[in-house]
Amino acid sequence: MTFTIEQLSAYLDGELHSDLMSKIESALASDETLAAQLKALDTANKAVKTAFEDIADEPVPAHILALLVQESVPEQNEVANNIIPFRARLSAFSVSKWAAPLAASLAMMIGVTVGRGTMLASSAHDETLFAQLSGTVTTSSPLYEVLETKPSATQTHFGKGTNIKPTLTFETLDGKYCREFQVQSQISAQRGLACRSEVHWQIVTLNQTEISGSGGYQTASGSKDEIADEFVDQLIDQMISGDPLGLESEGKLLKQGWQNK
Amino acid sequence: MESNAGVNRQDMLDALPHLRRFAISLSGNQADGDDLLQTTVERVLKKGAPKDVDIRKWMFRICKNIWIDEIRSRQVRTRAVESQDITIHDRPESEQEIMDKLKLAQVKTAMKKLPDEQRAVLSLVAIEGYSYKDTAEILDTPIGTVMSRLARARKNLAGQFSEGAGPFTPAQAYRA
Repeated sequence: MTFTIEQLSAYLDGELHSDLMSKIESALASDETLAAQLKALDTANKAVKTAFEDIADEPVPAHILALLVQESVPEQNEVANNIIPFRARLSAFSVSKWAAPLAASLAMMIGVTVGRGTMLASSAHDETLFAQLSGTVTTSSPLYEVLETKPSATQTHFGKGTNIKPTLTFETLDGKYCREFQVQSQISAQRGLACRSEVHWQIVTLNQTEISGSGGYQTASGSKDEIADEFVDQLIDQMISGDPLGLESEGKLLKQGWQNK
Repeated sequence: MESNAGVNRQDMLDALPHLRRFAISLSGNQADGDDLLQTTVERVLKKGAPKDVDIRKWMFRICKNIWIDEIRSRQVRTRAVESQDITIHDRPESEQEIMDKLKLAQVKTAMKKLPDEQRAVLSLVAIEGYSYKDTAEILDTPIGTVMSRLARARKNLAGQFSEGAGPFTPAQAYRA
């Protein structure tokens, strides 16, 4: 019995009727050519799957996320009336219904970086620092020690005018601990959010803005930076369980290495 | 379009990482894929979706249509298609061996060479894991067409990954 390539291909996906599936299965045992064909199709298929697998774990560019997250868009009246605004939906459902999947999807977006365009204006020192502040924060990153051991509002200096300061600590709806922090150098400032996994910290978002003057982190009204800034605020709103931790409970966690046992 | 169909932004957000992968697999590179993703999101926000539609599938469909009908046709006119041949001289012996030899980028290049419709089907089934039925629904095409495009896509890739014509024509070439 001969089989078409369509049938072999569908066999790979388990999309044939069971009688044809078993016919192919038994033919494979004795037909070397058929087995080679199936293997070639399977290999090609797996190669494609593997090549694209990781893309879904990459952060979605912030300007695209912002299309869906930001509260008011300039073309608001053009937006189709069957798209429920993000905020409206938040109030339309009870917290428990939306919060858990939302937190999960936010966790998936780990590494979102916002406003990276401003990097062009940054010094090489800043760029190096920025590179160290992306993705997973391991013990070798300057940020690690700060997140792991420093109380909120305590500034740590890293030379060349760079300071890192945790600004807020909170527990997420799925029981993780996250900290908001600020990194400030002479020409740029970053506001970020990192969450602790079992052994390290993971940057959830990092928003960089240029500094003019000594005002620290600030964003121009209506600018892309401001949208990014609101994005961080909303992110925290959506992830947080209850209130941010007070200095006392934060201090306890710092002592216990973030184990609340 | 119907109103108040319950389409919500959270469902759209949830779909984004996968939709982005689909867009990149269609367009062949990250920059074009992100542009395609952005256009797709803007389009769905502006035009909405039919009542009771699965917004995830709907976004995949809009994405594919924008790619085929708008962006790709523009690209064909304005940009020469860059292509890079992949040659594997040895007879492939194991999947691992092939994976080692084919850098991921080369697989992506091979993928780029497929006709758009084949690439869309392959991407939905092999990468996103959609059933034939769902794929047919997303692409608004009969299941039989999904089956044949998928088979041709896999055969084309297999041909690129092996010496000569691969195991298909003539079959003996593979046994050597």
